[in-house]
Amino acid sequence: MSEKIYACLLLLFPAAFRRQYQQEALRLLRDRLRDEKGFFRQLRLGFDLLVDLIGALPRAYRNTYPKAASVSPAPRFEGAPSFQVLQKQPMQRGVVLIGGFVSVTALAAFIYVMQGPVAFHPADPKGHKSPIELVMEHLNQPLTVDEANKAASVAFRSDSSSVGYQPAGAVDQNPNLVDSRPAQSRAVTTSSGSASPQFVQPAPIRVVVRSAGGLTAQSPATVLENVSAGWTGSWRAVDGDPDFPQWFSLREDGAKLGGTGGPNRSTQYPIFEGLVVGESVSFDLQIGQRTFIYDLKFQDQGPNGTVSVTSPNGKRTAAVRFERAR
Amino acid sequence: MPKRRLEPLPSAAFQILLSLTDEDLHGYGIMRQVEQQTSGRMRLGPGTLYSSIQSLLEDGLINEVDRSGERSAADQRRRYYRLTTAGRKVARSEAERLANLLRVARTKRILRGEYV
Repeated sequence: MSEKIYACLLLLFPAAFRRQYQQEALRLLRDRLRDEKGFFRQLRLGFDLLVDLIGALPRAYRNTYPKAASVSPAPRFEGAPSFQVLQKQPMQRGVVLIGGFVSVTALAAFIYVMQGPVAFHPADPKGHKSPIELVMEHLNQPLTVDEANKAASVAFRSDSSSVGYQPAGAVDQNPNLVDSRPAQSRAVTTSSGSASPQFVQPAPIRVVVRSAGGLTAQSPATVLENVSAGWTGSWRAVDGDPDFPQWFSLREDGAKLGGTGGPNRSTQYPIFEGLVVGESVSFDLQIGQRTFIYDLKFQDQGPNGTVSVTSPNGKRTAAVRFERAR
Repeated sequence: MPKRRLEPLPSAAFQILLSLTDEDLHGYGIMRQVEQQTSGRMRLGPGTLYSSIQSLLEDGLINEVDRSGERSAADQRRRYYRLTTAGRKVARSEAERLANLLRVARTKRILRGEYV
């Protein structure tokens, strides 16, 4: 068996084995070829090599071999990134082509995806809200009159040098939203000769919530009206009925509502069970055997809603609408 | 103690250990020594020889010797191997095991004549 044939047969061994022992094996073969002359010996050598090949292959694959000699380490600095060459062999052309193709494909896919419109979801479909949305929702919640009064009182005390009512800070009076109600309904009086005004009752206010960023957020829900005023209106239960005029003088005291009401300014009866919660206004009126139950909501010009009239003849319900009395 | 790869010790590995008991040898020298000590019954081919050498190296039974100060350039290119202390112990225990086998065979009257 020639050296070339045996070199080809050595390709059946693991690469690590060949890297480690190929030259030694070929040298050993050359030594035997040199020492074992003659046809019979050469034939025996060929037979030995074939048997050896069959018997040694499994063991060669079971063995572990030391890793290839490492590249001489370049000086490395602690913390500094560095690269080490793991393979001395140059990259094959196929590897370069496949890598280039994959890179171009990935880049094209990225460009295609980025060109498409991105759907905007203002709210989580599950109902979760972002912290900013929660804060804005909290700020836009309508304040009760008590809360507004408390805020106004605090603002008033914090600015005692000013004359009159000038809420400052979180609750501010917007000069563009001037109240047209009579001055006495504002319930702000000043002590004569005194530099510091005395806060008797909160003035009718429009609450403007000023955000921390200086932007002023105003929504209909944040505007509260004081119902302390004179109100006029009418109601009619069915189309055949005449209009029943209404005239009310309401006095708001925190969440409680008092005052009088009747068909006109001169005929008045006391109201009871008056209550103001946010924009809702409710009170009862007793005239003779008839009980009027008002369930109103403060809207654009004044309280609107329904009135239920209970009398010995039965119960009737009608829509009622008020506007500020002139 | 980790289990050795060469357990039980193959015949070729045992012969290689025995060949290295007297002196350091290269691959071809080991092959010739094994052939000589087995009276020509065992001729290690390159595959068997170097696979066994690799296993012995992994188990630390032999190690490779630096022979850079060797007399000829051809000898300098060759790899020489030396028996380690562990390899000598393993060879001795294997020989004792074979001796016990011989003793058993002798009591069984399997071996006769000048072999024993």
